[in-house]
Amino acid sequence: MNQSEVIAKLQGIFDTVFLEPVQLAPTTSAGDVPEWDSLTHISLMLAVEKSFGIRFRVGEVEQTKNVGEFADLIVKRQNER
Amino acid sequence: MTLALFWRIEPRVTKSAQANRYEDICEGRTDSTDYCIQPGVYEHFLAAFGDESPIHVDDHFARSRGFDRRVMHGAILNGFISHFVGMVFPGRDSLLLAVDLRYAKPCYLGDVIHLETVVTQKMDSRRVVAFDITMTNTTQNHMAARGRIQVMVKSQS
Repeated sequence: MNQSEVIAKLQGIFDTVFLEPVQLAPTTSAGDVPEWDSLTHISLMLAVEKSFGIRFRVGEVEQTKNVGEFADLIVKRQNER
Repeated sequence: MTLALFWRIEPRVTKSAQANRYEDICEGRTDSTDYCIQPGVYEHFLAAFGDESPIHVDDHFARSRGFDRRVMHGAILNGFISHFVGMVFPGRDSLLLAVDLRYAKPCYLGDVIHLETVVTQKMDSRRVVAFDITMTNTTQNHMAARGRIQVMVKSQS
């Protein structure tokens, strides 16, 4: 998968986890989404790990600045499988 | 300032809580225990939260709405989940993060609830465990509630 394909798949996950619709773009960050708090973040990460079949390492998701970088990290973890 | 001292809640030392480490929890693990909606549980819930809606306190009113008798508050089941997570599994190092519970059928005073959990997912980066949970009313012989919970398991650092 490339970044665009990952973001398209992420869109479906965001639609399920968040109550309010979020239109994802590579530049979207947590600061752009009021509902994206620490607890929602955990639900989101659980859904992403399950959906993509990957496991994040401690702190690496928090180092990504936006959805584009997050998608790149998912691609990286997928390629390591 | 005096008020703050007056309202201070002394810590309680719990000796009976289980202590399962995050590392020892595996996906697919199942655990269960039984709870009874005893009069004390019901009465303390009423006293604590004051939800005295007639459907919860008046047998005649509840029957007029199609129930056998007064219906127990669904949130009592959430209290059992809280006990299970904090005292049974995973135990004392747990913090309940999220509960998504769907109530299926009513429970009545004295009913026994069989609570069963299955570990469906672990997220190592946050030490979070996701569970599926089913609550079977073994007195009425039906599903009382089912749902999902998320628990963070923090060990002493």
